Amino acid sequence: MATQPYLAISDGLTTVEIQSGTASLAAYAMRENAWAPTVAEMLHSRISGYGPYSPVVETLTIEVRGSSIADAYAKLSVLNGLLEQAHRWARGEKVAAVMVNWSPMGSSLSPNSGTPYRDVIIGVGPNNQTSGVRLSAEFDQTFSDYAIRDVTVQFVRRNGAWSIGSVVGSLAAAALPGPLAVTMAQADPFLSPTALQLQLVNHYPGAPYTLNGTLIVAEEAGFNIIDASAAGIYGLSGEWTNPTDAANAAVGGEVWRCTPASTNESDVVNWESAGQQALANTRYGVWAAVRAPTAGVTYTIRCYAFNTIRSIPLKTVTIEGGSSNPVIIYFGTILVRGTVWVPRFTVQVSTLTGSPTCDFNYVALVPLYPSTTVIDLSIPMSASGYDYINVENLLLQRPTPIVSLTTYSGGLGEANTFPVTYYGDPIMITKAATVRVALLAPRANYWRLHNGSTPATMAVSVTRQPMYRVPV
Amino acid sequence: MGIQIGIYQGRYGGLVADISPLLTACLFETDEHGFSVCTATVQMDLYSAFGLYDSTGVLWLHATEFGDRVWSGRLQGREIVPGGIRLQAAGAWVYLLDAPYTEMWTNSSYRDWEIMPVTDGVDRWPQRFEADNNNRLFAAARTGETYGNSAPGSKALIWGLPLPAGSSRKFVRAAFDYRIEGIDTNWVFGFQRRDASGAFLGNILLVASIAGVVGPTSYSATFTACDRVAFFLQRSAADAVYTSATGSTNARLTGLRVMTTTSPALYSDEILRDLVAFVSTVNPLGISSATNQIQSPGLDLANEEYADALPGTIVDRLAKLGDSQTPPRLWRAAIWEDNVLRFEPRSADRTWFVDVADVSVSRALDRTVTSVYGVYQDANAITQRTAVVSDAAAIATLGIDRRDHVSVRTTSSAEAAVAANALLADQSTLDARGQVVVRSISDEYGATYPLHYVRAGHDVVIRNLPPSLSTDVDRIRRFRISRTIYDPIADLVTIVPENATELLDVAMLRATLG
Repeated sequence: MATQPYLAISDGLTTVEIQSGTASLAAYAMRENAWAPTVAEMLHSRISGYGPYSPVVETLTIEVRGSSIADAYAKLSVLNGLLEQAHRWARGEKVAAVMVNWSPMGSSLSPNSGTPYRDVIIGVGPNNQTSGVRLSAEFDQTFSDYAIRDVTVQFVRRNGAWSIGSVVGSLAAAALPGPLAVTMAQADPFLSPTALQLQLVNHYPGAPYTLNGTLIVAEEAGFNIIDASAAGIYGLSGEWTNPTDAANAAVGGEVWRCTPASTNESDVVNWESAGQQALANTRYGVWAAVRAPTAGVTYTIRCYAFNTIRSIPLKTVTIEGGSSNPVIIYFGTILVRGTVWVPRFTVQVSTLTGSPTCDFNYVALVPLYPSTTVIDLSIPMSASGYDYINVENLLLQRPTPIVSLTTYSGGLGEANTFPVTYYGDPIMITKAATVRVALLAPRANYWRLHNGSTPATMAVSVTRQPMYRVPV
Repeated sequence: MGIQIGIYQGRYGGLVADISPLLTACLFETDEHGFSVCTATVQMDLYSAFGLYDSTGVLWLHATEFGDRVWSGRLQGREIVPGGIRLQAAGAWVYLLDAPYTEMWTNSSYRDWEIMPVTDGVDRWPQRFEADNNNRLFAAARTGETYGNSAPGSKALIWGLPLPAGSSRKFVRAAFDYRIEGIDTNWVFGFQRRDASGAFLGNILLVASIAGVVGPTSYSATFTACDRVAFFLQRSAADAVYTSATGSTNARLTGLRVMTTTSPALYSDEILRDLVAFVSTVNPLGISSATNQIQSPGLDLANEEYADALPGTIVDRLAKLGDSQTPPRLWRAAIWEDNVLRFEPRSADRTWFVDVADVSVSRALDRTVTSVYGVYQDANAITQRTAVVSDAAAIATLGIDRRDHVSVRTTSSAEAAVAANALLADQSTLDARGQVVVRSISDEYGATYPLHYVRAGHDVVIRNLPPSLSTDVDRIRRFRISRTIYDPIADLVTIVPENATELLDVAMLRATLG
């Protein structure tokens, strides 16, 4: 346990120690009672790219000491340079991130300067027109002891919370789409940045393809994928049947098929299962795997939130038919107090020519909490061996997040790393002991990733950097 | 957990830049047309900023949260500013403003018919006839003139109506009432197909050997497609001086309507489907070619001819015509995240309940209308006014009758009356002007939703207004949204009620954009 505080600003190569962690005075000595860390509020902004807490402004007053006047000036210049570098990093320039490293006195998690709490600096505070360093009027009057007194340092910590250590969890390859439950080494008290690596096995069919899918990460047990073989699903009237579709690797082996009897809106299928009880009083999103194969037909697919006595319309989705390839469709969110509301679907076709059908294989119900991440991916798989999808949560290392494809389990920074196209916030924030991951990704005529002879599986590795707003 | 904002290479293309963490200002707006405007200021180094500034091809801005498309649109403007770049994007509706559209659909206006001149061919002799197109098409023989079919050809008077140049549609249907009067059996009346240059293609209707009065007779039929239709009157015998009284041989057409569709009635949805095909052909990756969200108002349109008109303007006009119901419903057209044009009656897609801390609303009579008449020009370009329609309940409530008019580009009194009824339905209730800034919304069950769920076209109920307030008279407690401005950085939404004044819109936009 630290008996002396440690505080430093560093980019990994250059370090400005303001508190040394020992009884000795640092070159950049902080004035007594000159700083207390700001405890961040919850973030108001809904823009992605940040953690759950607001960036905070830190202001401290220090004394820059040198062995000579020139040395004092040089040390001042080093401090100034680091703060400028932090600003440049935040603007996206290719420079190293600048961290503030802190080991408070008496902390059990950060007993010494070797294991500090960390946060990244992204510039100076609002309306501060200095580099982050402001000199006092005594600047040129105190050189008898080679010290520049009353130097005010101000910077913004990006995450508003202190990060320390990491917690990992992994899961061997398992069947898709999931959700696959990854057990972490521990639960953490606060929402913390989380990185993810997915290893796809048996996904490459021997020819290039584009992986179009939806990656979902959530903690809550209510995160559920209900396939068409579930007992509770029922379709009204003869327009809905429940055939098998093993040839296309249907999840659970079955689909619910609508064969419209007219061009009016069809009867409904209610997608119910016992697992939905966990979703009461929860806002959750509805995704479905759908196939609209009949050419020349415009499909209008409607989703409703339904309970015993009411039906509330969600999204209406248009599909131009003609492809035997399933697609993943987002149908909106359900949040209704009280009893569980279930999704129900109808199909309307523009014509009966060609005897159109429409199939549903599975429906994903995803609680939409701050700890939930949904990313739509579009990844060209142009060669075998590109098996790792990385969702790097780099709140401490990069100004912007990155989703990539690699041939290597080490992820970013390695050879053969390619940023890929995504939609949705890749900043994952979790804290629970279990993290659930699903990849809703059909391929060609298959309802899930498939190499043509075997359904693909997926191994998952999760790394979390616990964050604390105040030290423990 | 947040709204990711990315710049993409086209609507479905690859990610160019995830600008979310670099944003210093951002506003997402919706209006009656769907996603309308997004302005975003991005903090960037100069290299990156110019990289985005100089990107070729169409860039799209997509904002996504949990699978929901918060906002989506095409980058319209890029501006290098100190410390970064400012982006402006427009929703997919902008594709309806990219290319002008020229087509003839239906014409009921006598004014548009012209006498085909002598110089167009050898078979016209218009100067020897009496003719007018005043509320009819009329042709009559004149005393003392010579008529006949000797060389250089038959001498006729021909009224013709060409398609506008550039129209790909062809005339295929006509309906009219005709009355013909002839002094002997040597006179012939007909309705013809002709090509774009005016050359004869064939007769559609031929009434020969006119002696005495024929008709009035109604004609309505389809025919082989052509670029021009024409009516003619001529003497089919050898040349002879006409000695009877002027007008004693004549042809008169009324109830005239020609169409480029085979069905006897034309509804907006048919035009809209063609507009969608046109727009999605000009820019294939713009809006969807799907037309399944276009409903039919069931209102027969009498005059629809577009020359160099922007599709967006046409759609707006068709929406404002209302429908065939009594009173007519107001319609709307919008394109949202599915990129499909929706044309449907206005209704509350969703209703949100809000508690507001600051309300800035006012009421005034000057936008309220309790009775309306329509103004239009008939087929003779004479300004006409429909009968006044009134909302007796509104007059009783307000104690006064505030009368207004609506000008409609039509020759049909029925269409003008429909527009008048639509305006009355919309504005007979006192307006609430103002804006409401909202930081939290919930549905009728009290469930809280993200603020970006609130969109134009939704209804809002303000719960914490005094209970004594009348909800029926004044659209304060409950109103429909005409525009939303969502600030994802501050996480607040500004809601503008429907029917706000233009002045208010301008003031609010300036205030919001700083």
